[in-house]
Amino acid sequence: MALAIEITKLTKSYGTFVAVENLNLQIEQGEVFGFLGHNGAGKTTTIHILTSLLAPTSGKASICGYDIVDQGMAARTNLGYVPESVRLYEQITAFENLLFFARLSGVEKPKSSIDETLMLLDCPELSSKCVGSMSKGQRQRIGLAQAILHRPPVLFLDEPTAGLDPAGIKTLRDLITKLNRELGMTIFMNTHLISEVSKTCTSIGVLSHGQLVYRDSIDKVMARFGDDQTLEDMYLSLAPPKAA
Amino acid sequence: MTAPSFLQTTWLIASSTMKHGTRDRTVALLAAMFFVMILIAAYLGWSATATVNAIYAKAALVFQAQGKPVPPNPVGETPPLSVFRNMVTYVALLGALAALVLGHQIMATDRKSGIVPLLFSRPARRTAIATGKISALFLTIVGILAISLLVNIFTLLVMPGLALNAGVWIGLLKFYTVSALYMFAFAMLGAVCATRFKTESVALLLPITIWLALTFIVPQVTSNISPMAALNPMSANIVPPSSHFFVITSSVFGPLSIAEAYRFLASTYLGVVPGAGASTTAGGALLSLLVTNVMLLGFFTLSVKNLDASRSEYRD
Repeated sequence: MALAIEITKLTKSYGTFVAVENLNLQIEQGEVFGFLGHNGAGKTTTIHILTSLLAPTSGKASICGYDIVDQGMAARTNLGYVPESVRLYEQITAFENLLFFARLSGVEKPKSSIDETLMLLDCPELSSKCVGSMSKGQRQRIGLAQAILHRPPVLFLDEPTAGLDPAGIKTLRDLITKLNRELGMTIFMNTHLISEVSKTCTSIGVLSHGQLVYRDSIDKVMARFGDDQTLEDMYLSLAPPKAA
Repeated sequence: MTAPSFLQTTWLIASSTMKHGTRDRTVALLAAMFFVMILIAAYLGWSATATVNAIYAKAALVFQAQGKPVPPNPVGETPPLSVFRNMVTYVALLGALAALVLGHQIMATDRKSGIVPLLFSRPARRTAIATGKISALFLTIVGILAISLLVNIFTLLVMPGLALNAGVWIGLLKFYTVSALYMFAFAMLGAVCATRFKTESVALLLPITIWLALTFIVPQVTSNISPMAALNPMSANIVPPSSHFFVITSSVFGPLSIAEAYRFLASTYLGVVPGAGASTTAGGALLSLLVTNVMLLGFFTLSVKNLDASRSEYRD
C-alpha cells in the first residue's frame, strides 16, 4: 500500500532565505499527523508545496504515490485542502460555492454529495445561507465541506482552529476525528498549539526554521513526556523560536 | 474519482465567471452606458436620415411644381452604414473601457475573494482555468456586441430610403468583428494586469493609462493626429506630415497604434473615408489587431500559470 504522503529532501527557498530545508517525512494512510512549529517555521510553505500551490525548489513529494509535480492532477485528485482563513465567494450561498467546487473536483453526483457532506459535518442548515453572512466557525465548516466533497484520501488543514472560540475548537476537533475514523482519511494538520495535537493526532512532527527536528507517534510522545505541560516544554526545547 | 476534463473545467470556470460578472455593478454600469450610447448612435443616424428624407420630399415637390427634373435622394447615394459612424468613437472610448474593466474584474474578483488557493488546489489545469476566463470574456463581449448589432439591424430596417444589399450586411458584420477584436484586446490587457500585479490600484491604473496612451497619445506621435481626430471616423482635416520624425515614429510605433488601426478598419467597413493615420492598408491594420490579441492571450495564460497562489491576494 502506497504511503499517504511521502516527502524526500524537499527544499523551498526564496532567494537566500530557506523556508523549508531538506525535509524528509513519511505519513502512513489513516494517520492524523500534527505538524508543529512556531510561526514562520515553514509549516504553511510545506502545505502549499504539497497542495501544488507552490513549486518546490528541489526534492520530491507524493500524495498516495502520485508525484506532486510530474503527476500534479492525480495528486490533487487525492487531496483536500482547508486554508488557515477559509475564503469563498461571499455573494453566493454555501450550496452554490460547494456546487462549484464539487464540479471542479469531478464529483459525479454533486448535489447529493453536498447534502451528504453537510449532514456528515452536522450543518445542513448552512446550505442556503450566503457565505458573506457566516461566522468564522460556519465558514470553517463550509471550507471543510468543500475539501471533502470528493472524499479525498488525504486532507490538509492549515491552522484549522485559528480564530475559533473554545466551542468552535471542540466541534472542529470532533469533526477531524470523525473524518479520520468514519471515512478513513489521512489528515495532515498544521498547528502551533501543542494542546491541539495531544487531543487529535496519532503522530507528530516538529519543524523548526524549515527543518524537521522531531517525529514520533503521539503514544510514544505522551509516554516519554507525560502531560500537556511537559509536552509544551518538550516542544519549546525542540523548536525554540528565533529571538525577536 | 476522476478529474474533470480540460473542456469541462473550461466551461465550469467560464460559466462561473460570467455569473459573477453579471453581479458586478461596475461592469453592469459600463455595459448599460455602452448600450445607451449605441441607442443614441442609432437614434442620431435615424434622425439625420429622416430629416434629409423630409427635406428631399419637400424639395422634390417644388422641383416637380416648377417642371424641373428631380435629382436623386442624397440618402440613397451615401453608404447606408455611414449612419452608424458615431459607433467608431463609442466603441473606441466606452466599449474599450468597459472591456478593460470587465477583463480586470474576471481575475480581480477571484484574487480579492481569496479563492485562488482553493481553485488551484483542485484537480484542474491552470491552462484550463485561463481558457475558461478567456472564454467568459469572449462570450460576454460577443453578447454585448450582439445586442448592439440587433439594435443596428433594426435601425437599418426602419430607416426609409436606404439602399440595403448583401454588401451592407457583410460590412456591418465586418465592423462588429473588428470591434470585438478591439474590445477583446483591452479586455485581455485588463485581465493580464489584474493577474500580474500585487496591488489592485496598479492592476487597474496601468491598463487605463495604456488605454489613454493608445487612444490619445500614440496617434499624435505616429501621425500628428489631434486626439479627437484620431477617433473621428470622418476624414481628418490634417494632412499627415512627411517629416523624418513622423516617417520614423510612424514605422516604429505604427503597428502598436491599435486605436488608429481600429479606426481605419471600422471606418472603412462603415463606408466612411478614414482619413489620415498610421494605418494605410486594411491588411496591416487587421494584422496589428490580431497580433496584439494573440500576444495578450498568450501572456494572460502564462500569467495564470505562473501566479503564486500562496500570495495571490492583493496587498492593498
